[in-house]
Amino acid sequence: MIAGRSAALRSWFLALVFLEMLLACGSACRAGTQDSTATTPPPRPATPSARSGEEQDRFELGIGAVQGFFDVTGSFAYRRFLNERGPFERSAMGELTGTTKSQLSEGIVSLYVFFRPIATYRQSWRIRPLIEFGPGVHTVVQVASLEGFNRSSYKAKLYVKSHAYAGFEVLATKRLGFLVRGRMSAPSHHPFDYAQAAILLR
Amino acid sequence: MPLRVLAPLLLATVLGCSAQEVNSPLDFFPGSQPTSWAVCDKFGAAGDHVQVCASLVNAPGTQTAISYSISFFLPRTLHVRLAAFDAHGALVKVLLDGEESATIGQYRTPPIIWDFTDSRGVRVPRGNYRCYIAAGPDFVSSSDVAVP
Repeated sequence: MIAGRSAALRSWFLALVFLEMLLACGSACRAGTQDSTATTPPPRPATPSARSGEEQDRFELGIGAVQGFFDVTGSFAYRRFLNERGPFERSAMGELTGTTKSQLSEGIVSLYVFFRPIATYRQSWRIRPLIEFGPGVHTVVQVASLEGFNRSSYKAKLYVKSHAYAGFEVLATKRLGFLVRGRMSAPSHHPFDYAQAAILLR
Repeated sequence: MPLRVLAPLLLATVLGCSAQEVNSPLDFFPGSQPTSWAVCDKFGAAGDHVQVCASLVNAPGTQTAISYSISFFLPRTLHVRLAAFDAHGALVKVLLDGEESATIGQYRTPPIIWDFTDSRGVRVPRGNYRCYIAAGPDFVSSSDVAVP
């Protein structure tokens, strides 16, 4: 059983490393293969983000309803826009979420890479459709408070999932806005697993 | 869709874990540090420290466990709390909660019996459970129980 668990951990680790390599394998990897592919036209290089100023990054302070045991979760996220490549704008987001119900409390550290179709919005719009998708890595830590024993048990688990978000973001001012969005995840027993409203601070 | 977009999505989907969900209770027991109490037959109570022993009780003539028998040795009168928790750390049933006199003999008789029911008297589903015992302010111990 221990051997099985360590094998599972090892495969998870390898999968994560592979995923990381895929995600990190941007322009550097493509540049490295250009010399050997003389017949194919050179790929379009990644352009630095067309976003500037307060469009470059933002904080998101949110509250969400989740499918599953817990009802409501709070979230704090930092998102940074990376670049535009082809029809997509790429951004990275780190998110902390926390929730509690009966004997259980849960904290999640999540890392996402999002692809957002450039054609779905304009920076000049104050109300923008929010359509994006990408992989997410979640480290979940749960604490069970053992009633009557003044003791806690801890458990941690790592998840990798693909997510798709759809919603709207509304910019009230240049620096402040809010968003509402729903999330679909795969694989999942509850594909529509998350609905969130958040304040944007840019 | 470009491969560099599709590949991580597919990889995350294939490798992702669907058996359990984010935002669902994780299984705590038996955890990475499973615990168990000694069988009472081999129990050598003595000295001035608390000891706990337990064993599964099978239905007559079968190998199917129908209850969990727990006993202990107390060197002096102490408040004892004994309870069963499910795999998610939720309280299933309080088996004992009160003052217990110093034990006379090897261990407490009669033992405390958990008949695999919850606080409403309904039999718990099969699975992993953990019993905790606290005696006085300092002693806490636990034992995993696989309910068939």
